Amino acid sequence: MSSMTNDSVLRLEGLTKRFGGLVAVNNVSFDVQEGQIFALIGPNGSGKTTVINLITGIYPIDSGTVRFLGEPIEGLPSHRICWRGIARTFQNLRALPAQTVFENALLGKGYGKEGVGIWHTVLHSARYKEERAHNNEEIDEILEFVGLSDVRNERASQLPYGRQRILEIARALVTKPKLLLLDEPAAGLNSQEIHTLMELISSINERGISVLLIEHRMEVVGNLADWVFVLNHGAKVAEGTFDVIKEDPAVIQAYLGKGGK
Amino acid sequence: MGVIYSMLALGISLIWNASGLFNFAQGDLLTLGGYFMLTFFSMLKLPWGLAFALSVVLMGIVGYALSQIYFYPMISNRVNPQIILIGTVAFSVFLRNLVLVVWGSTPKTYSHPFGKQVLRFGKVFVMPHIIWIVGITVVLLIILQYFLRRTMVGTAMRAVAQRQVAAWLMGIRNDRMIALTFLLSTSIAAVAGVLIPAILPLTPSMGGMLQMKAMAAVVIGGLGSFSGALVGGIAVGVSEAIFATLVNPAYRDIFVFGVLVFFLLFRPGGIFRAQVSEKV
Amino acid sequence: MARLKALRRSYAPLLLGIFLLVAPHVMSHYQFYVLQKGVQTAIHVLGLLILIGYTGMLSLGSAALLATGAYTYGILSVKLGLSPWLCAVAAVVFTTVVGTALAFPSFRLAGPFLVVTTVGFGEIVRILILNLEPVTGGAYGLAGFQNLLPTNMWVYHLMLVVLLLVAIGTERLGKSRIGLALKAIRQDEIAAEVMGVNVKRAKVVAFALSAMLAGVSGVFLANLTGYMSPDSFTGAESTTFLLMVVISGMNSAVAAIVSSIILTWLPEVLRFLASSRLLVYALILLVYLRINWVPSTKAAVTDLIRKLGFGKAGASGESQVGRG
Repeated sequence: MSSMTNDSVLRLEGLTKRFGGLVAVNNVSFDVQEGQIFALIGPNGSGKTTVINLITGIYPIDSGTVRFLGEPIEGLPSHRICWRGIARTFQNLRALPAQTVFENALLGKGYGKEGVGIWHTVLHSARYKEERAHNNEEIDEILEFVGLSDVRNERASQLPYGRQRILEIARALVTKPKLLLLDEPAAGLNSQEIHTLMELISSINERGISVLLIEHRMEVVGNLADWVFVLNHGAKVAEGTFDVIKEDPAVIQAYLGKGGK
Repeated sequence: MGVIYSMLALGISLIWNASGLFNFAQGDLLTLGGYFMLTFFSMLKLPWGLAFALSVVLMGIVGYALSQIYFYPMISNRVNPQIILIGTVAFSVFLRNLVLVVWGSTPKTYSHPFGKQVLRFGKVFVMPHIIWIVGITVVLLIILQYFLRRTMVGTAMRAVAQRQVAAWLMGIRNDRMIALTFLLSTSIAAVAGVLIPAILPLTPSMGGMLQMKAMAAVVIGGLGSFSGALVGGIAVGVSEAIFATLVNPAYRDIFVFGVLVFFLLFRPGGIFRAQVSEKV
Repeated sequence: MARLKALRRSYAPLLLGIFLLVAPHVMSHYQFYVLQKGVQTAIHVLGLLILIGYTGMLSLGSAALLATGAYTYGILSVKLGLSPWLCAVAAVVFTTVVGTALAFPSFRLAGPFLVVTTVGFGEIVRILILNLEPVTGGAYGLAGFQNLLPTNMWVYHLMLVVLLLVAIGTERLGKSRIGLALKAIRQDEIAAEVMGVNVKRAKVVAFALSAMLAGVSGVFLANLTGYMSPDSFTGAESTTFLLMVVISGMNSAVAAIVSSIILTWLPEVLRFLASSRLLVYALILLVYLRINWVPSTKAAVTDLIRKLGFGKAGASGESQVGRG
């Protein structure tokens, strides 16, 4: 568990999104504290990924506000949101298959915010070489931290599924986030891999990065989450600590209706 | 001309709906169909009806083969759609030059059985072949609608179009369905190709311009929407004719492109609001 | 095996360079002309490597940009009588501006729609050139402009220098962080954006760079042929350029140069096929795509090649694109 201060890292208020006639996210409000591991759970189709897509600017918001570190971020383009300090992984694995592990991680450095421009790159100037060495070091350190150093120069497509997930997390870490959004990171992993994943998330959290976790596997949620928010049909069902939530009749009902946990 | 564009647009929409591929070679498929007809009708002197049927069937086979040998394997292997797109472009170039090599570059034409007698509706003079072309197209569309909505096969095709994996799990053979889609598309292109020499002479490179206009029709009407294809095609055909007569024939094509670009920028979904964005 | 590949990689540029330097002296006048056209095209294709190969913005209208460069140079020289170098610079700048305008549609439009737009753009330019006779000479073409340098050999060497610089630049760009960002846009635009890549800005840069190179290439084209007409800048030409990039594997500058030269040469070598050169190109491309990108077929073919005794255990040439 991590230290809890009272600063809100991410605050959603009245977030709403409609797709045609369907209300995907309905007036959702919650607060992620600094240093927390915040779990967002709910049956399939309850709108969890949509919430993340709204936060990261992939879908435009219909109404409501999103505040990151006190500043509103609705309407900002996704890359700016990333620059502010929010990083995410994807439910359906979006690593670049043709690039190596190292290159995938390097992508986290982005383009347009900092770093040398085209001139320097093409001329291989001193500044460029310096930046490159610096990036190499930084990325190697992160790869080491997540345990991917041994496959640094392999194509991402060659990695087993579980390690590709870790690669996505590594890539997200390169962006130096203050908040990490993980969309079902444990999906498709075996128990050994899940164990590694949980340890990784813990260590990330210990470094001071807040985590918003969407997850289905209850052992992960139970073990890691400081706070749980339950979503169904786009609307809040309940929120609280895991022990409280799992007894909550409304929550059980929501899951039971879809086949139980 | 409008309905010719519509037919091409329909073919493009069909393939798009079924497989997510945008067929750049549709115009050139029309050309091929037209040249087949030329061979059967003018060169082999077969009766018009028979030649028509043969051309359409032959083109259908081409479509089927295309799908089985070339496109379906790419789709099922999840090849980057951009690459497949380049593939259709390459195919269009291939067809164009094939026609050039086999049939030569001089414009060809052949007669049609619709009669030369000019018909008169009140004050309007209409050439009979136009009525026939429009008529055949409308009939074709009705048959198609019926096929897609009412028959088992048609429904299966639509199922594949909407959810490939689900359809597969339900026991529908995706490759057959997509092959069928291609077959239909090429056949429709063939019909258009057979009818078109009544208006324009056949040249190997006519596919390019027709493709452009068809793409404009598709965009304007909405990609993936069949009624959109129809409306879009007619819209393009009519407006380009009006523009040519009123303003300046040389710039007619620029006008069409201008409209196309306009739509792309401001209303990519077209009139019938087709799906443009990607699911994350 | 890896050593063979690495060996080939480092020697290929050297061999290419030697070839380009020596060839003119051992070739006939006509062959040399074809080689020059190849080099000139290579400059343009390198620009396309950045735009299409790295960034994935499929453009079938690049011939129009080439035309813009060539015609601007020609018109400024003939009609305004400006000094050739001034015309060249103006042509490149103008082409860059025009080409960059194409970046904006690319913000909103995906795959086929973008291609359609670029084709439309290409056609519009061609029709404009055709119809604005007083300025461009219309179908009769444009001639009579001055050359940059006194002799053909001078121009050739200048082109080689430019080609070398551009090739180095493109390679370096490709292997850099920025290059990676571009390649990411091609493979997964949304993921790139979410990871902090300013996609819009990157696209603008890609379009600008490739337009600039098209402009340069256009100026050289004017110098090489002394005459230009709208027929040389059709959609078919754009498609050929696209082909050159795709066949080269979309990843390496050297490969792009080689494929440009070879594909420029092919029609001459295949004289007996005359008008069907595009047919052959297209067929080559179709076969290539089908084999290279569908893993099962690729495995079968590489197996076959091995059985026939051509030993190489590795996959196709320079391409590291895989399922790109």
